[in-house]
Amino acid sequence: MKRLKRVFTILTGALLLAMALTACGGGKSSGDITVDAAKLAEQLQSETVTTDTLAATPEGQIASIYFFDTAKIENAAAYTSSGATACEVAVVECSDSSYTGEVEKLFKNRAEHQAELYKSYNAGEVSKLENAIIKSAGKYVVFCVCDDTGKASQILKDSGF
Amino acid sequence: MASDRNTRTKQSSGTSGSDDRARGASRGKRRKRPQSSVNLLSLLALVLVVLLISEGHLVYIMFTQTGSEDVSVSASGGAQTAAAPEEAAEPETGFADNTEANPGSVDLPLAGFSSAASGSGEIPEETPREETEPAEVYSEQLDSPVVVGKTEPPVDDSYFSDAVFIGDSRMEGFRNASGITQGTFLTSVGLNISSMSAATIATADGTISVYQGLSGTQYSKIYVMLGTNDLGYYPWEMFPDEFSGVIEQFHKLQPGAIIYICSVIYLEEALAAQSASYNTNENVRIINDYLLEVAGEHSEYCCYLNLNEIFSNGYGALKEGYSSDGVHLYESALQEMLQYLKNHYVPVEASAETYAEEDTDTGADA
Repeated sequence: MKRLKRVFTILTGALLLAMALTACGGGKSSGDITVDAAKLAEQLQSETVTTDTLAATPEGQIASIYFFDTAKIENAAAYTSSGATACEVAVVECSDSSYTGEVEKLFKNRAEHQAELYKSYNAGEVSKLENAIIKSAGKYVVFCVCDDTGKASQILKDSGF
Repeated sequence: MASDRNTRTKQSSGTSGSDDRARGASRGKRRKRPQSSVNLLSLLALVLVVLLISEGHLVYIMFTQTGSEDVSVSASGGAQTAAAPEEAAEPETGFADNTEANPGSVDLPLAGFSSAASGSGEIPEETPREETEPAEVYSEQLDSPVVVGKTEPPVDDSYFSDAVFIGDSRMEGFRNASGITQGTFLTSVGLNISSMSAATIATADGTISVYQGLSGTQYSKIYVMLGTNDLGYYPWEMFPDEFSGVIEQFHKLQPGAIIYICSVIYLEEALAAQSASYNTNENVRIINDYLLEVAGEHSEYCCYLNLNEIFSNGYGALKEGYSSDGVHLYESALQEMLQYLKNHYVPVEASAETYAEEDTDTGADA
């Protein structure tokens, strides 16, 4: 009887651990997270961009850079370059998670378009665009073109992405 | 039967294995002495090598220390020699200051100076500060009726609601960081006057050309910031004609708009020339003369904004500390630019036609 109890305890523990690990997995997180978009964007730009000084982009201009449907966006924050590098960071909170896929696509288009332009303008920046981080969790989507992608991934992981 | 064979095989192999181990052990014992002496010899050789390296390293350090002492002495000597003329010299160069602050750096090439001028320890004596030619002073007050002067009162952002901004990465930086909240931007990194028909402008529906971008909505103002990516344009003489053609096409597509041609902003040459040798302020001046010329040719709908009124250091270059790479401006500089646009505009009552009349009158008087 005692042995049976022990086996049961071990099995329950293993099951709980497996469930916890699944929730923390990479890729598209489906968790219901809450993020301060402005704060996260600021952290990403200040800690992962080392070759440029990015400036906070006015909210009115963000949509004209990424072409969101503003009616489907709750909140957005972005830091963009003066043009010296391809670095930029954007964090978008969609009205609901069904629009995140579209925003991801827009970010992907942006990275590809910029990479095409930088090829002939400043080829050194192309790899940053090719390694651009595009991640979503819940209603949020993040776009990060930076120098330290490892650090960016860690920040996003810590934020629930 | 098979299992019997296996057992036998195992047994026999087991026996031979133990024999081998026994033989190996005895061989090992016999060979231990020569092996240990080889190990000892290897150890000795290793010690010798390490000693040789460390000795060699010490000798190397001795030599290099002597060398660097020489350099330090001559560098500080150079700085002292330079101290007297330093007061009279241009503060912009900072040559002597750098040498004094970091004597060890005299061997490093200084940006904007040839390696001969920044090379070995003897150089400071050979290149005294007084040899540096004083920078030429450039006035940014242009004598042309198409140059837009300061206008009061300054407009607010709503003035740009019917404006379209066309330009390269510098204009893109203006959109991103100046704080401007209104206006349409047809900008792309690397845009030059030859790429007006190329699909380089990103939109929600894919990429379009500048001309396509001007084909729909009618704007009242067009701000053009082109030329930085044309600094290597060849041959120069062809530039005004091609640029004039671009402006004519803009006018054809937007007949009711005033076209503000922005000057090419100066560069911080020491930084900018690293990316391309033609990125010089001399070329900026040449291209700006052409831009002004074209604005004058189309004065009935064109005017010229000399942004270098606020960005020049007085010596025909971009003010120091305004850019990270010598080309693209920092946020604070872009905010200054926005302020400049807000108080350098053609007043509403002076429509494109009125503006042209005024210009014609001026021309007739002259």
